[in-house]
Amino acid sequence: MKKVLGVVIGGLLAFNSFGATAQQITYPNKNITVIIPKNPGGGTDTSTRLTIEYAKSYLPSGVIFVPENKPAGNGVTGLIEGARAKPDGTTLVMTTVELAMFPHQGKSPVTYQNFTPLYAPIADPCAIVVKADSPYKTLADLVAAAKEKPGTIQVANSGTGAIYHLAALNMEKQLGIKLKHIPFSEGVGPAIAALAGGHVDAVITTPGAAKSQIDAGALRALGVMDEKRFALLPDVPTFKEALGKEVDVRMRAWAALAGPADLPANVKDQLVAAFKAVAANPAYQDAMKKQGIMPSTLVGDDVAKMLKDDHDLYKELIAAAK
Amino acid sequence: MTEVLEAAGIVFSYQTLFLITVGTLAGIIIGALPGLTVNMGIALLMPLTFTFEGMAGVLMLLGVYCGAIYGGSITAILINTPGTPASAATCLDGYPMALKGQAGRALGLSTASSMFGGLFSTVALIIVAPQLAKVATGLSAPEYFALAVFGISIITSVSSHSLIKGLIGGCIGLGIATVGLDPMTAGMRFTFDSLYLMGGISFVPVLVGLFAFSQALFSIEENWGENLHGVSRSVSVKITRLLPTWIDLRRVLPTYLRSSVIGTIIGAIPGTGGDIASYVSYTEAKRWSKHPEEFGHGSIEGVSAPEAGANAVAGGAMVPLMTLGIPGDGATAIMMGAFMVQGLSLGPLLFTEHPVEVNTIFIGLFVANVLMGILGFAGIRAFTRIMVVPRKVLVPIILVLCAIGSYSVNHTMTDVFVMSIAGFLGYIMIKLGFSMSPIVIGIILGPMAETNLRRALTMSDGDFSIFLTRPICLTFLIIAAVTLFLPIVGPKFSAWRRAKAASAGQGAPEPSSDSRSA
Amino acid sequence: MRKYNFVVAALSILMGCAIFWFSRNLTPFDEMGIPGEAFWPQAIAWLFIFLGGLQAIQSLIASSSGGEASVDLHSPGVRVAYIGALLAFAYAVLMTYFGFSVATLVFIPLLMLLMGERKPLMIAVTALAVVAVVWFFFVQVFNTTLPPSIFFE
Repeated sequence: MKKVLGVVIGGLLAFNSFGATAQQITYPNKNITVIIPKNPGGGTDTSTRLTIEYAKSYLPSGVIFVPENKPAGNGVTGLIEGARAKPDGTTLVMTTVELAMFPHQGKSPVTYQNFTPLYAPIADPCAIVVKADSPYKTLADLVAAAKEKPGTIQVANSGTGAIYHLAALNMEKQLGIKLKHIPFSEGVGPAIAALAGGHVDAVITTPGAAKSQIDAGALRALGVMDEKRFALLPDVPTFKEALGKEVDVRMRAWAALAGPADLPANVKDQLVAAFKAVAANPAYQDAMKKQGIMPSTLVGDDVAKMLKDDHDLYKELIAAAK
Repeated sequence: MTEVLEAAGIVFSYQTLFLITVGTLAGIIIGALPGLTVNMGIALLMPLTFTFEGMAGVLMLLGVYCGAIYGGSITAILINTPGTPASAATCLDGYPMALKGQAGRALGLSTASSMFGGLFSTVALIIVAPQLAKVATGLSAPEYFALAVFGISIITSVSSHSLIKGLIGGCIGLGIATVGLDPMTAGMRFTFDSLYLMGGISFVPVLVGLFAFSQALFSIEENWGENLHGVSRSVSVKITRLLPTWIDLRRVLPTYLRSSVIGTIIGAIPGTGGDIASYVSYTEAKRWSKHPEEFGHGSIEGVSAPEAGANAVAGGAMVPLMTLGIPGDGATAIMMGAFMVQGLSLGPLLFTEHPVEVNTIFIGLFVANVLMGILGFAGIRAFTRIMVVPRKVLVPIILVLCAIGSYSVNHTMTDVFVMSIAGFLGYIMIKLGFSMSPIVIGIILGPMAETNLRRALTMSDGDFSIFLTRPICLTFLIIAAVTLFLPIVGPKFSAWRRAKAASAGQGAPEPSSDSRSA
Repeated sequence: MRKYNFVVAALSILMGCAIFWFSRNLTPFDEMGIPGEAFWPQAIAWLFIFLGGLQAIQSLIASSSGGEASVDLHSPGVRVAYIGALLAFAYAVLMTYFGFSVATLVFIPLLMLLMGERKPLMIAVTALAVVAVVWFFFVQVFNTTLPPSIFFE
């Protein structure tokens, strides 16, 4: 009875939300802390805040989500705190693709096994982007040029050992080419600025970060590293389409909301159901697309599978890079 | 034109004006409180903008941004404790002026210069944004390196007591910045297996410690002395007028202009912000001043230059954000999220696809700067009351704010300990004749110099000549060498000329300090 | 001042040597001749050593000419400042264990007592007001967190 009443009241309170009643979260009796292991204002931060903004209507009254930025130690301290929190569903953490890489680089004592994945708002593929007036019109041009003059094409990434560098390494490995890696540990913004100024030949990034310049015709995306085209850039071929059947370069930059391992089943189910409803909310999808992010609908065990797959992928890539 | 009118309609609605005023006021307060910085203010208020429809939330953040940069100067002038990194340079001459009983004059000048810098850069943003963006993207790794070296070379101009100690301080700053992951190889450097150190020693806690915590310790020491002798500090806080006098304004107008140009350009370059702009403006003001000997003892140009420079960064930093979708400094990086949430795809298409929003930002920035000036002048009398708050109350509050501010950057207690240790060491070092400014400059610019040095050499395959063959890079390196050595050689040179003139026995008019301005 | 200037010089040189010691396993140049991880820190280390030497020489010259400012690191006033720093450090420790509110309610009265405030009402009002205002803005308005107590889980 109490539960039913709670659902009704919750539904009344959340009258402006989309199909709130069936996904009501009932377990928490205190605020849910959401650890964001990144700086405020960045892509991970904004999409986390957006996600919880749309999810808050499913919470019982008097309880809110409290986002907490913990970027110290490149976010590892935030990940550790999320992993070691009491598994009662009142501490969640937005893990990022670094979780699949840091353990192999000796930078993180926690891995995907320390978390219960719930929902991945972002799972965007990497793309390779050049300047509009670049001599490389297609991905094949770039690969041919790299074969002709190995180690001369300057490809900017967001730091050695970070995802875009590993994506470039994966390209090298799969295509049998040699590139010149220019790390921009300051982030992908300065790397794109360098591309716009013509100081590097190409940048590997998620499409969202370069979308406005691609749309304006200042930059050109040559290919996305996925099995299907990226919905926000439908004209850009995948690597497979651009280069032929045997090529399989797949890299995705994701962010996955997770709780600590051993989350009780009912807590996990409630959270997964709530975030599934958020992911299906058209207003939420619009808000994410405005940021150049294609909102994913991966929840629960699908996310867990992605985390495990990427963990194994990066293990191999990082071992090969040494 | 209709877009401009429509934009004006949005900005000059009651709700929007109210939000900009609230934002600016909140910014001034957050900026003025030691320990809470510009970036933190924007990060704190950004989630609120999610709930506002349309541009009102973004405009409120612009108000916070402008207000917070200005607010830092208030506490810098009155209690020698810069509220934000950008106003550290304002202490150098602002506090000496306050001690001379000219707090009102100093605040009036800094308010006027903040407003001037902000408005100047807004105009620059409106008129020459595309050209400025071209200049900014035209710079590659060698130029960034040269720019960083130029910034570091300022150290010799802001070391008040001993040049050698200033340089050692600069090395300490550069050294602190090397801790963490290597910027190019991502290898561990001086991390001693600590996860905290892996991310590097956080800058804001160190800065808060060096400037605010150490100053609080000085206040405790002075307070003890006063209690002992039963006398209390008596600095005149009488305000005779709010607006600066015409004579003052005429003297500092060239400084305003120069600093605003410097600030706008530095703001437009991605990765550099108000902290650097204020020091560069200060140094250039000193270099071109007719009274360089007054600097450090309460020069009106010295208090104006950093503020005009720092506030001009606001408009400059919007240039790459709006034209390229790349933030110009830390604050705009945080604001970027708010823009995106409102559906503004920042970048080349912004101007054609969202002309109304673009004009709204222009007008909003203008209004925010004007409001900042109005609130600033209106508040001067109230601000100066800080100086009459008993230290016994003020110091505990400052120390609590230092702790909270340091904690809130990363939400980790480690930063609070870093802050207190940095502050205590800062206190001892000031006693030993060190200045804090060189350390800060080293921390800010060290990574920029190192990363771009190595990136440039990676691009050139290890060929060092790329620093000498690119004209902009070479120019900056030469200016850097001049800036570095002039304060060392300059005084000796003029002394030598004086001696020569005297020995020639011609009674030539004494060569004034003009030789410094060469 | 002279004694301390020599200490500064020695510490500077020591700092340079320490950087060399801790960067001994890092590469100064990679195989392409591009500066590696140790290049920049070791350049700073040389500067530390050079400047330390310069400081020592300058102190020698200056001391012969006399007329140096004195450094006060031991007077009673400075000692009170040291106690203040110690209190602030204890404040951080207390905050780690008991959270923001408790630590601040202990710290502010102690520091005010140290600074010579004797009016209990003044002390109580200041401490309570600071905690209330900070809590209101950070927790209520900005929805962010203050240092929590580790016992409060």
